[in-house]
Amino acid sequence: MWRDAVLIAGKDLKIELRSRVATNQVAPFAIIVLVLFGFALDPDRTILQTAAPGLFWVAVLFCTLLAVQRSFAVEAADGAGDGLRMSGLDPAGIFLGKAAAIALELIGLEALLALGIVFLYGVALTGAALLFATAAAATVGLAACGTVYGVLAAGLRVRETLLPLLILPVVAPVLIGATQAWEAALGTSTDNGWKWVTLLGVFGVVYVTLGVLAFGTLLEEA
Amino acid sequence: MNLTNWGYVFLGYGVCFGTLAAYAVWLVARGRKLSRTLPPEERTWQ
Amino acid sequence: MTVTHNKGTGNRTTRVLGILALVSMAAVIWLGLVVTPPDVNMGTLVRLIYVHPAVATMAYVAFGVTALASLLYLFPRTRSWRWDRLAGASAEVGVVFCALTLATGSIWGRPTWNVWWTWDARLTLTALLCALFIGYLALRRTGGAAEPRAIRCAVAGVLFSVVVPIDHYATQWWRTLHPGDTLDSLHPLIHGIQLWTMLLSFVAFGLVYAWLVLHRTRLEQLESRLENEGLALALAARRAEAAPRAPVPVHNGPPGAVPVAVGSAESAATDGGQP
Repeated sequence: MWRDAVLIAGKDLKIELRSRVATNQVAPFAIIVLVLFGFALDPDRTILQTAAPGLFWVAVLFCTLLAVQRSFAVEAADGAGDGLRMSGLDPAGIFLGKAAAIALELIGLEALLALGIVFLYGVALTGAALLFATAAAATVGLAACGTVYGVLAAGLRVRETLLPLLILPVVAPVLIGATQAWEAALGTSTDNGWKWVTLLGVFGVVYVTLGVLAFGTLLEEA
Repeated sequence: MNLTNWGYVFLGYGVCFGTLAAYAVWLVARGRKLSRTLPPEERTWQ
Repeated sequence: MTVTHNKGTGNRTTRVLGILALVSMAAVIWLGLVVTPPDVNMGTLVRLIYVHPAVATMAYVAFGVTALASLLYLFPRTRSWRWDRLAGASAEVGVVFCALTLATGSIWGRPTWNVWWTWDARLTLTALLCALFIGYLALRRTGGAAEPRAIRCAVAGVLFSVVVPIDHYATQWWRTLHPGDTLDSLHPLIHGIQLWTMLLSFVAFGLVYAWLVLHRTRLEQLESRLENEGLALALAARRAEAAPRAPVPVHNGPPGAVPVAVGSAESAATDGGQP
């Protein structure tokens, strides 16, 4: 299973390296979202700074949607999906591989967005341990969740509109948890950020487990 | 919108029972319509 | 040929259930609006306690049923179309109850705090649940073959339900940090006839839920039959339109020859090489 996972993750990342969709399209999109938030909210710095964690994670959610759509779009072209099914690879491995590739892309985008809120919103990044732990736990959850629903919607014609409707309500607790944890880290809230990290961890574990169990069935039906 | 307290109570009850009644009517009506269009067959409830 | 009276999705069970539901509902309305006294603090607004909690509970019950039915469908040993239909039916009824929970909660909150929406933990959780199952219903309406779709929906049903406890804690913790207006602070100490009426409301709405789900499950059965047979029926109807006159056999040739049908465009076309 792990070998297959590495194989699939490598394949997806290689496709990304050659097509550069994440770097040329999703990354600029992420920055544009931050700028749009700046337009929507008063350029008065205080409101942007206070709201920065929430805005950051909303932007991450949008990027997740794009990353998931892209991950399954590459399988849809030229019957690659059938090839994947018939390749004899362990479905759990395929799941872990695709999720890992998405997670790595997300980490890159999160780093970019973090720079974005430092420069555009004037946020001072403090509490690094909590920031990183939150990001790690949240990213695992988002990637696993996105991959599961991505394959569920993969074969459907309404995929583009259905996927956001399926994923966004499900990752709402990730948004709440990550935002609260980052607010605690940045000092805008006196809450205990680590309990939120635990919640994010539980979410991640749940969806990784479910993904491993269910991916075989879902892949066949796609 | 400023209703009296009774106004809110009636609004709440009205919305609740009205919606349920409308949904019930729609279910039964659609059931009858489909029953007419489809040929008679074994139904598990009859 | 026996004629079955297909009046629809009803039968003796639903009729009895329906009458019980109507009677208990009428009792709740009468008790709630007329008999029970207003609350010391909340005044007459307390009457919404005979509607909102029951409707909210039924929404959660409905989604629990969907989750359970989805699970039963997924296990090969218990797999049966019955569970798929139940899951879908309960989800739709659940969304209705969920919307009503949000509406009644909002209507209760408005005169109390002067806003239509308060980010109360439980209301927010209910709103999330509603969104999840609207997505589930959208998944049910995707086209394609029935069995893959059923499996997809069953998996989604389980996946959504698993996230509900996490959502519960998330919304709970989120709101304890900024304790705003919570509906909990609304719940007065009720006793006596108020308590009994509230308990009766749970029974009444439970009966309504059961009646709605029964009808909706049967409707689901009819809808899936329409999906399977609808095309065949429509084709048969079109063919019947195209050949209005019944073919009349005419014996023209020597005895033993095949009778040639007159007046039927179809058989003339297919009459190929008949002598």
